[in-house]
Amino acid sequence: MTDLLRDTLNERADGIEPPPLDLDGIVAAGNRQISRRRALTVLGGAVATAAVAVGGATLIRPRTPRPQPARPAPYVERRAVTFALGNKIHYGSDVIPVPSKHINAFVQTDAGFVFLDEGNNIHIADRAGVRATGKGTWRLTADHRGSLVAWVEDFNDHCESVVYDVAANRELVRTPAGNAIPANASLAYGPRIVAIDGNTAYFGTLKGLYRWDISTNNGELLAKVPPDAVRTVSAGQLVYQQPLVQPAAGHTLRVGPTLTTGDRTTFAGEQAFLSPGAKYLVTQPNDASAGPQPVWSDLQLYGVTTPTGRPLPRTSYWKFRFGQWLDDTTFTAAGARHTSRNEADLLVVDARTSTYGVVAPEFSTYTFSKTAPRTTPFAMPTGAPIYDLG
Amino acid sequence: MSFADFATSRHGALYRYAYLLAGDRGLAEDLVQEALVKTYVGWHRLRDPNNAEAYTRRVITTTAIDWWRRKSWRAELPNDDVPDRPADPDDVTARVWLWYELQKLPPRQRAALVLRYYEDLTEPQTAEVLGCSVGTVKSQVSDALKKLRTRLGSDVVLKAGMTE
Repeated sequence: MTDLLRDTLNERADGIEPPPLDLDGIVAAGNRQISRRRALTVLGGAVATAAVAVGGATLIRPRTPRPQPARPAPYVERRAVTFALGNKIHYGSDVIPVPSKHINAFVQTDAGFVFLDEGNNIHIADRAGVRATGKGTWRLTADHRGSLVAWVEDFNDHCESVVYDVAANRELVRTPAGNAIPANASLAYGPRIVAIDGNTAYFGTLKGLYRWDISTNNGELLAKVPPDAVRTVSAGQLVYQQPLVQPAAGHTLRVGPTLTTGDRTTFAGEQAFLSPGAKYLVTQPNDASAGPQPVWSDLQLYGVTTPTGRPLPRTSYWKFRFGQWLDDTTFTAAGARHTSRNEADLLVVDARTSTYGVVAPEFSTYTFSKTAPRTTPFAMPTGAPIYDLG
Repeated sequence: MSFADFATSRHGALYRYAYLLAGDRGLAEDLVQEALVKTYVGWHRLRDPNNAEAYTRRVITTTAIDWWRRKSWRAELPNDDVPDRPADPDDVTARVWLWYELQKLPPRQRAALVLRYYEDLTEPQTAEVLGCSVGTVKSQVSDALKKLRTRLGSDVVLKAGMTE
């Protein structure tokens, strides 16, 4: 055949650049198809089993395991200094690349990392590789230990609270409890997962705070308070705002096993990060600038059982972002420097001495991308994306 | 070879093939995405990478033909940048013209040409991808070339040797 035809085809083919391969999307779509087929197979299987039972014979075929993208295996039972930069999770000395363009937010569990990509789709990076769950959300919540992660999924007329076991690769809880959206209502404060504390999840719903027993999949309404009135829960201790029923963020915080307004120590700050044993409390006062979200600014460190504390010295930094409790006395945070380039350092803070050391100088910059969704280059393992509404 | 290895290593080639069929980058991307999802679902039956690639190409081809019928891509073909009919096959405008005329061919004929003259498949291999007989491949290719010769004009055809 002619050279002209071959030249034309080759020229056209060579002249285009293939787009990035969305392997996660392909695997997720494939898994959805497989799930639908299995559901039909189970339905058909019930009929087939009945027929086989009459004949007195049963054939069981082993299931071929699904292929998964091959990725480096994260070993995540240990809490190490962790952050995400672009599409890589940095965990101690390990770097775990993921096939997404950007990691908006992530959390660490004992069974693997769970992250939101640039479209807020939920992915899991564990020993089996990186896989998409096919779900999406705005924020992730995990416990200090264990393999559970939780999130809220939005629907037209309601939201659902979900608890997912990364180790077992399945949902343990999915409930719309407390999250019916009234007709013609525009939500100023949406529902959120307050915390997972051992085998108990706390759901901040539109109706109030639910305490949910994950093993029995049953819950109770603890109090009719705004979704974010309780900030977090660790070791059975709830960190809640004062005043408790104020719909916007309260002005101070208290800690206790119940939501009473009794004689308890008051802590300054709006955002709260309680240590695993509830011994120390880190708070972050809200910034008056409503642009960068979440509106966290200073870091303040308090002893809960022996109330002492003060803001960390700001000598070198104008902004802090909490990271993660590594154990009951040390935690990580990012600090943005007072420079024109806003370099960010990664810090490890010792709660016993209120001192900190820089473990990764200039690991990123506290700047926002020029295009939507205007996120920072980095994410800390809080489950909350850092973005700019300004 | 894992599915991830297969998809990663062959994605570029599959995309180019889909682009030659569809003539549109967005449609090509959708075609490859849909075909790779089907390949993933059937991966346990397609352990041999050669089987997987042939299967994926077949899905791309049949899906493209099906979409073409339903969406009538021909109606959407842009023609603002098509130059006047060329007088010489060495002229770059000849390739632009030929590309434009290829888009106007029925999808099976276009697929047959791409498989034979871009992928360099034999007639039996082309028949397998298209899911038809070798005789049908021969007639599809013959008809397609005849149309191209007519549309390109005798001067260009003779100089380019397209009378073979």
